[in-house]
This record gives sequence, C-alpha cells and structure tokens, in this order.
Amino acid sequence: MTEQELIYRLKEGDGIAFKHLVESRQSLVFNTVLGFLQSQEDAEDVTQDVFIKIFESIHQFKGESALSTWVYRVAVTTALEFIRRKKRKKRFGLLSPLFGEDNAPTLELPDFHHPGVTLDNKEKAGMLFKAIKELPENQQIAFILNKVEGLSYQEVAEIMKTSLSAVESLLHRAKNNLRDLLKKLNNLNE
Amino acid sequence: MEKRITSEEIINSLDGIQRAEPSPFLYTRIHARLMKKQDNPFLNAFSFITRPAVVMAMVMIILLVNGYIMFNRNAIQSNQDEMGQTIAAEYGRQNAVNPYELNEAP
Repeated sequence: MTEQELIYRLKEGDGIAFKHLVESRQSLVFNTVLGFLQSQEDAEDVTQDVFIKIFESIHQFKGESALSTWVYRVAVTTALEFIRRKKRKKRFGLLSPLFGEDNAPTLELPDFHHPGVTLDNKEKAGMLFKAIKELPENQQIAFILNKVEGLSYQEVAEIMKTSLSAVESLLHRAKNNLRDLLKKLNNLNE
Repeated sequence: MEKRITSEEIINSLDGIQRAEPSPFLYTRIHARLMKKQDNPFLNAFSFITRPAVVMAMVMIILLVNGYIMFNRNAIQSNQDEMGQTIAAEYGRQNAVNPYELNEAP
C-alpha cells in the first residue's frame, strides 16, 4: 500500500488501512512517547491515545509533510500534553496527605531504564533520562527525537516545523544544559 | 580505583540505543477503545460540542443573536418615540401649557 493510498483510505475510514497504520508505526510512536514519559505503562496508554487522535483527525492532514512526520508531531504533542496534565495533578496532589491510605509512606518512582539501552550503559542512561526531564520543552523534543529516536537534524527540523540551524542550536543548548544538570544531579567533578 | 564517569560519557550513553516495542495486541486495545467511544452517544456529543470550531461557531451565533436583539430593541424604542410624538402632535399636546410652568413665567 503506497502512502497516498494509505492516507486516502484512512480518510475514508477504512479499518484495514488503520490497522496497517498502527502496525507499521506503533514502534515509532511508542519509542518516541516513552522517551518523554519514561514509564512503560504511561507510554502504552499514550500510544493508544495517539492512534485514536490520528484516527479522529486524519481529515486534518493536508499532505504537506510525510505521514510519519505528522504522526511524530501528534505523538510529541500528546506526550507533552500528558506530562502537563500529570504536573497539574501533582500540584493539586500537594494538598493530599504525604502518607498513603494505609499510612505507609508513598514511594518515589525508581529510575527509568529504557529497554533498548545496552547493559553497560544502563546506569549512565538512567542518569541521562533523569536530566532530560529537566530540560526546556523544545530542547527535550530535539534531543529525544535525535538521540532516542535516531532521527537526523533535517527530520527533527521538519517535525518541529523549524530550520536546520535552529535544531542545531537547540541540541547544542540541550547538551550544555545536560552537562550542568548532570553535574548538579550527580556531583560530577571533571 | 573506581573510574569516574564524565558527563560526556553519560550524554553519549544513548548511542546505539535500540527501539522499544509496545506490548502485543496494541491494535486490539485501540480498536476496543474506539468501539467503546462510538457506542457512547453522550461521549460523542460531548466531544462534538467541545471541538474548537463548534465552540467558536456557538459563540459567534450568541453574539449575532445578542446584536440582533439589541439592534431591534433600539429600532422599536425609536419607533415608539416617534409614535408618541405623532400622537402628541395629533392631540395638540405639543403646544399645551404645563400647569407647573405657569408660575415660572415672567
């Protein structure tokens, strides 16, 4: 099925075309979303949300970019919306008791370990993901798409609707910020 | 001696990362959620009403109706004023002397 045919059939509400889209783009969406959310369970839920959004808003896709670029955009937006919603809930949660219902202290979430990272790099990647969370949104998007998803600067620029030089600058600033954050987080002395 | 980890090593720790895969049956779950959504008329109505285009259209309609009512009210009022003046003119009230003004006359 060509991309044009797939888009046409998706706009017609074809179930088989939608199944094809899910199966061919599920790892792209899941991996991207996982980079932002750093939780397998949340990433599974948000991946479902992304495909439902795509199904409901495919008529808004004008074909100005590749379908995958648009899918990436929906995935990034949905993941960021989820994080914002979670942060809002957390802010309200400050009013709730510090102890759980059974009076047991609420546990902090453990460090995130991406399943695609080699065993040698597991610890370092855990530290890096912790620091990525602290980056400004735009730098986070550029860094995750480039480093976790392995996209080229050009592809990142298309997804973010920006120029190549802007992406280069974002990644440069992201790395500088990460160095500072890692020093703070782990008291690294170089 | 323990090797010190540099921040550069940490930043490069994602080099060669493999893609994470979602658990199987993702499509089945999405399909089930879509079916559930389609079966719920209230949810459908709610999602339709909360669409930005629908909200904007509703606001525009309310503003237009409001403007129409205000414009009509002004037109009716000026019509009534005109009618009042016509009736007063017909009954010669325009030149009628106000009894309260009698004492004020020089």
